[in-house]
Amino acid sequence: MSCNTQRNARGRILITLLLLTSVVSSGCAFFRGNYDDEFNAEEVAAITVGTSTRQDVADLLGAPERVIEVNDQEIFHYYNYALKSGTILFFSRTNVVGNDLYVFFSRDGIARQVIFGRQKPTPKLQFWPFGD
Amino acid sequence: MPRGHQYLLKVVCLLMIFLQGCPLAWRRVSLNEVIHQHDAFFIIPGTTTLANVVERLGAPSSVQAADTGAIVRYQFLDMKYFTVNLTRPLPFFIPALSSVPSDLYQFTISGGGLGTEELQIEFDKNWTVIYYAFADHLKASHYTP
Repeated sequence: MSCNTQRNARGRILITLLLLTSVVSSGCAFFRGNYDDEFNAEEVAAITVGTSTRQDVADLLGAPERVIEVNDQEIFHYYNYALKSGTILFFSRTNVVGNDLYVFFSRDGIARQVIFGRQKPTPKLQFWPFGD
Repeated sequence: MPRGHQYLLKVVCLLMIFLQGCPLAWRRVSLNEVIHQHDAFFIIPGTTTLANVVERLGAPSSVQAADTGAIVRYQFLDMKYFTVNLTRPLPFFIPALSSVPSDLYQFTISGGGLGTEELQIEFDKNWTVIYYAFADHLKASHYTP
């Protein structure tokens, strides 16, 4: 094979690759976002059951997203969401994961229970919308 | 490169160019991880407490007051959506259509489903499980044109 033919073949491959890359990447979009900050485990650990008051909890974690009353108990509900989204050509997938934290108070306003538990993993960045 | 492959590559490139602007799309939105039936086998009504549940499943998505105590919900959502714009490539074949608003000849088929899954647990006033159940609506989520 002559040198010119090899150069032509390489040129064609390069042009084809460039064309494919530009066509494929023109339909791409990746996005990540969140609603509120992730929970800081140290701040949550600083809530002392039997001692911390509503004010102490609010000082540590800020104002709760919701205040619920269940079984004559006041509950501070904190939550946050993380989102990752990927789009490639015709395929798009958005994954959202939320984490919640509840602080239960007794009638006299003292923290009785902290429901934090296992934190869900951050959402996966995916674009393939099929399968699990 | 064999001639057959070159032809196929050209066809694929042309198809991709024609289909630009998302005339064809599969979209999916998922909220939270799924809790399967077998993940909840450890729950025994009358014995398991809220602390046990949280230890295994994490904090719930919502806590709601009920007459008997409280209802706790773990929620998951899966939405699938498919759309195809069949007339999108027409201006490439009939250039005159470029000057006509696409709304006048556009033909789009789209459809999908939203499936919500939920593990619902009811607790008594001592935060012990009374019952638990899955909503089981996840099959509603599918790509349907």
